[in-house]
Amino acid sequence: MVISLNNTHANHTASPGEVVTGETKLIRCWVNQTRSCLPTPGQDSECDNFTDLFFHESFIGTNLYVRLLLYTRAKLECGQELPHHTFTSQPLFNLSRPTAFVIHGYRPTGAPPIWIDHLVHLLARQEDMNILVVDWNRGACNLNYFTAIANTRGTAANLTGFIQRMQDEGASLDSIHLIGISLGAHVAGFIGAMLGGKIGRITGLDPAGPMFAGVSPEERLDPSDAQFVDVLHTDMDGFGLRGAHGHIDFYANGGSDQPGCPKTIFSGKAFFVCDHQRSVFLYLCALNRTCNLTAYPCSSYNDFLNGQCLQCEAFKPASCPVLGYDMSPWKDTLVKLGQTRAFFSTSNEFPYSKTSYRVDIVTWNQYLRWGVVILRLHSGKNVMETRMDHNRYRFEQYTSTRLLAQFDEDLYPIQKISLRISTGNVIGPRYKLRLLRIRITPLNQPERPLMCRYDIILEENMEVSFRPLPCSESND
Amino acid sequence: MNDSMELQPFENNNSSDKTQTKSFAERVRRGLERVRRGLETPVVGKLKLWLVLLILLFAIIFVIVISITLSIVLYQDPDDKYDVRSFVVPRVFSGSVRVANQNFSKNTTALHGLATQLGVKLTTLYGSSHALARYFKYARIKTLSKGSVIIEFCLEFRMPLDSDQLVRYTLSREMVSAVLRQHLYDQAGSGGNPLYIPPTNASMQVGGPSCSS
Repeated sequence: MVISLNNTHANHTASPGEVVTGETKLIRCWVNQTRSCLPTPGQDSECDNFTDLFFHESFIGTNLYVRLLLYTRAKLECGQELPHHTFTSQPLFNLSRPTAFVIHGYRPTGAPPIWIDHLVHLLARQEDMNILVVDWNRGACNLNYFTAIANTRGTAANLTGFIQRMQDEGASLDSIHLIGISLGAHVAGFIGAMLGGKIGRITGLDPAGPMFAGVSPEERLDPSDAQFVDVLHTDMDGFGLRGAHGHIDFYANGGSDQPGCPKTIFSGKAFFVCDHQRSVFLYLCALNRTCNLTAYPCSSYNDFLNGQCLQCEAFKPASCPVLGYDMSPWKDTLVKLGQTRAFFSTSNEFPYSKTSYRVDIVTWNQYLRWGVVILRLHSGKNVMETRMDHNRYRFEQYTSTRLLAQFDEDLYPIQKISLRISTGNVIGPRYKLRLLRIRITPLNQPERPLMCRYDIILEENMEVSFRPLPCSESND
Repeated sequence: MNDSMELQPFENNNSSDKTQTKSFAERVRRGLERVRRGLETPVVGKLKLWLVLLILLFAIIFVIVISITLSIVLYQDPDDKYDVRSFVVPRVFSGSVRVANQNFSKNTTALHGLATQLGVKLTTLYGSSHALARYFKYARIKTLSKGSVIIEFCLEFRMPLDSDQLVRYTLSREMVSAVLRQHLYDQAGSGGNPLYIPPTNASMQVGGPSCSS
């Protein structure tokens, strides 16, 4: 699956499938412009699409207008606007099925989000459910961010009323899932709070940070807003919100700067939105099961990188939590634990998953040694290298030093391993690190064998290569 | 109050700016001239001061370079220093290997030959191990089971008196057998060896008090 990052707004101006349904409503097709806009034979109604606004409307400001676009497996390519009151007249809206609300965030340009179609398709693949895309573009599209924030309350009140009517018609709050992106995450939190936290689940994708930092839990998304709240952070130092806001908070690459995103303002718009948008792309990739984003509960990202949090005893027999739609293996434990922070690293592009190994080294040097470790795996002609150099590791006699080695690609089987140590000393004698054993444990594929090697001397800055062998039965 | 008092001398400075700059440049020029003359004065015999200073500078650099080089050359890794005489406590392992794909039931001399080869191999292997060599005493072939291809052997190591950690880590059963297993693994690729032992055909236990019997 390819995630398109094209500027869809650019396409719209040339869109041939423009449908004007009212004097003020300007609805445009932004996906499958020729197909889904025109009435398909056999369908009695046209598709209703996400409101597309022009930038000048953002400049003037828009008044809040909340629309609900229904997508189901039966009609996935074509959204149906659901009336807020007489929704029972829509035969595709089945209240006995679970319902997912997708709530977008601040939209300063007025263009529809590029990920809607993709997200709808992937959600439909998870379960047979009603997918309601909440279109509050009129309200979120405003150059004045404060107006958009004020409109989150109105949107939340509107949706709360709708959900209450769903409940009156026999729907269960347990089966409602709110997926909020950025500002939408807080909208979901407000709805959850108004419904007494009885909603089944809220997923927050990089909840908006500006004007939400340091506010009380009632004024933002928090774990009391639903039975289960999961949050993904990707831009805590930009548009995202710092801290923990769910039963589980996933921090991609520490939650702030994402690999592959521009570091300077010279890259234009991407500099601002890349980190923030990454949360949606990671979630899409996780829904698609292309990415296996296993997260490790830990006190900090640095501790995670230092290999201190690679076991998930609390979740046994389940594995460590995996980002995605199905959180059932971990949900009960997470709710019991209260709030959990979980960390993972990604590569800089799709598919974002990294292959991780736990590396345990036991040395026999009499005196303490410090150094960074460079590990290379060879499989046929392919070589992957990782430098574990975010800090210098401490090697103490007869004490196991644990490291986390992460590679962008998964190589298997591994025929050769190269190891190098560097102390960073410029002058002075070359130190030797004397290894009794190195043990390399694959973390993502527990069925793969552990790899060991014994009795190695590593001279500083000199690479040593060896064939790994299966570890002996002893485990300590 | 304070402000005006500070302003006063500053204004004074400003008014005589030109003359001051001129006299300053003049003073610097004169100063430099004095330094030059000073450097030209002979100190020791015919050696002038500047030459003496230069020699001193080179001498200091030379000493630094020499001391660094010496420290690198003369650096002795503390882990390479040990006294074999202090290794007195014996630690014995007994093990066995089964030679693959060979039947020596009729040919005992061939089997004896292989056993000798294995003894040499074990001695070289443990005698060259980074972690184990210093403790290694000898390897001995114990018995050759008749009609089979199982060779039993025995390894003796000597440890210092304080050997708790050593027994748990360096001279543990895991480590001593892993060194052999690792060697057999590395050899598995090179075919045509009459003494081919599949790595899984080697086993080892911590043995009795001595290997000599």
